[in-house]
Amino acid sequence: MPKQEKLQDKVRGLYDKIGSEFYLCRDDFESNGEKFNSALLMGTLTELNKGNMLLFGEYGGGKTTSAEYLNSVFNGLPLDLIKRVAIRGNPQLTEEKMVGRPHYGKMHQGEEDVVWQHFVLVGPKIFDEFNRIPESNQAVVLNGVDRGEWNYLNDFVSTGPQPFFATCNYADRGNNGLIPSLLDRFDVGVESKFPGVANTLHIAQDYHNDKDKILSDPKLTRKALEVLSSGKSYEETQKELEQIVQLHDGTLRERGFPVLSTGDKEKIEQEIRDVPFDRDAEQYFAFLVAEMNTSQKYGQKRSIDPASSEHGLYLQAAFVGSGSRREEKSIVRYAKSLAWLQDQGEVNLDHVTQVAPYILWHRIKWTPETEQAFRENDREDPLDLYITKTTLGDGTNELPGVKKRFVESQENYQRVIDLVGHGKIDKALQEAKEYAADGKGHPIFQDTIKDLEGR
Amino acid sequence: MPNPRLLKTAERWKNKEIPTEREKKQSPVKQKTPLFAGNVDYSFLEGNFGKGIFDEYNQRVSKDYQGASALSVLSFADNVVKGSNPFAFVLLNKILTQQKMRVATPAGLERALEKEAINLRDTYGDSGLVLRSDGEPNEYLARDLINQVKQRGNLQYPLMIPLAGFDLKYDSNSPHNLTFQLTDFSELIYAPQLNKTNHSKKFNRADKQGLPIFEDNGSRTLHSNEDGGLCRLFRDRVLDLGAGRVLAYSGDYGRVIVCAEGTRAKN
Repeated sequence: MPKQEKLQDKVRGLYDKIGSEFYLCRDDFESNGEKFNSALLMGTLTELNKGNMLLFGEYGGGKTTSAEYLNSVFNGLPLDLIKRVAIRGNPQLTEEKMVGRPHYGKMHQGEEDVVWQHFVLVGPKIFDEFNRIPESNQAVVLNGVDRGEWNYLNDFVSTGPQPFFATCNYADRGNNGLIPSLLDRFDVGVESKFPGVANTLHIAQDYHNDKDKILSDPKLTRKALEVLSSGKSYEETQKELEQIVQLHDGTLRERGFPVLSTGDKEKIEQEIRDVPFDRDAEQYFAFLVAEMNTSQKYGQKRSIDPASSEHGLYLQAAFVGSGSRREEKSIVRYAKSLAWLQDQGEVNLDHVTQVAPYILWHRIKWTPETEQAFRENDREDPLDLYITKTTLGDGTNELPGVKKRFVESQENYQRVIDLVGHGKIDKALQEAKEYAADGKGHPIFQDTIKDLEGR
Repeated sequence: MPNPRLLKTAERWKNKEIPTEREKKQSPVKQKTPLFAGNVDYSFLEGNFGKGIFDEYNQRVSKDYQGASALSVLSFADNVVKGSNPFAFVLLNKILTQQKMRVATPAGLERALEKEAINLRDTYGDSGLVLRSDGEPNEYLARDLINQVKQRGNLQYPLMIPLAGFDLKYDSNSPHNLTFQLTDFSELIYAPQLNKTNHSKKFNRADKQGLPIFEDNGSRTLHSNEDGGLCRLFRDRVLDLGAGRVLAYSGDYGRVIVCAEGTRAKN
């Protein structure tokens, strides 16, 4: 009986195939001694846990290309279909062009019906040049991005979570900022980096993206577009699209691609959910949450209060605003997905510390003082990502990072936890108060005091 | 009633053994005794003496400096004063001089390290300011200091000024509500060693003024990646020297090194 291929091997097969033949790139991410390309890795994890990802970069830097390849091979959809149903952002983009429009024929007969845009009906989505749509129109896609729920007139379509990629050019005259509430709905952000001269010379010889033909299928794409335009219910549309996926899967198999079936994807999702955190990973996560959300001066971090370093230069003092429950869920989902991909039974400290900066950097607004302290440093990443990586890791001589503080204070925190775990609440409270040092100790102790006192 | 979710989490995270009673925690670094370098005694601010200085310090912060946040950074825990930034150092020095003591100068610290009079590993501490231009970082303080230096004669950058010779003034226009004031005891030391071009250079020991003598195979590193404004000169936890821009930062492992001529009673 042939040995069954592990799902991790299939996913890695897809990752390697894209990285070696389609989206040529360099490794810039390391977890547990293994190297990856951050854009491709986070894109893969986004496919696995049906997340939302922002891709930043320069024009022609491969942002859209990487998202198209990922959505095509992980979802068994022809590449030309993926390209056809993506939305290209522009200032005139209205809800009718993005989400749905009235059925004009029925409207003339006095009936109300909605024609959903292909973008909504197709599973995996790409929104190209996302920050070219004005801030007022960004709110239109909030719910869709967040929950997979799309509303128009009195109708709605619930697609459930689906992989969603949005590309953004760096700030120029043609684009807008993304509103904070929308940024918070994106699980992860990456930069599509310059792939190096050797890779670029190779890419340059690919005259008209000839390599894409292997992933394309014009006949199936035409058929899929007919299904999407058929006006059938969402459920029927999905069933017919599934048949097209199966046909395309067969072609991909013949062309040497590992293929993930719907069953495989459901199994992966369940396996990822079941990966537990080890104690160090979860406690570091607790320290990070405490530093991002608590403030000894103002009770808790708020976007309407200034960042204060009065009680010590913890992470809370370096940025304006606060953490959010969405970002903490994103850290858990992406750390678990990475641990699963690396076939490790538990999420360890390295998984969390490596993933967390990519979850947070697009959401955090650093204070001008923090930006100034890092702006001139030599670095490989965009400034915000560089600051996030540094401050969540060991930090600098002057500005130790969360990980460094975690290592310093974990022993004391564990003592408090042990006392609580063995029912010695009063003693735990006494020690937590000592470690809190009148608000100058680590915020985790202040927060633990509140929990112990039942506040 | 404690939060039941904390109790549940603790149940999951707890070790089998109940923690034993804590030993009276020592300072994170162990002192060698006697703590003498020549006839100078170097120590952390600890014990009853340290607590007394700490209490007076806090009173002065409230009374004389309107509770300036850059000064409200020290704590007294584990029997020792914790925290360090240049502002706090200068105020502590003012208080210590009343007791015929002072905070250690860069030169004094280096002598103490050479003679192994005190173990400073795993702590960091400030010792001076480095003035490089009237620009950023810390432009306001740099300009103010340059005006004072110019009144004393020629100004040659970079200039290192030990903290032990400063006074501190409340100034609501300053970003930290404080400015550094030169006194009759201020030493103005031309310090080309602290130029940005020497960033990352290695050294083992320092010259008479506490500035690094570079050696290719040195075990310590100079971190001096700025070329303008005003920076703090500090020693980090692995005894490297740094000249950095964030003046107000203070962390738990910061320590104030006090030096006293001769001996003083220990408690």
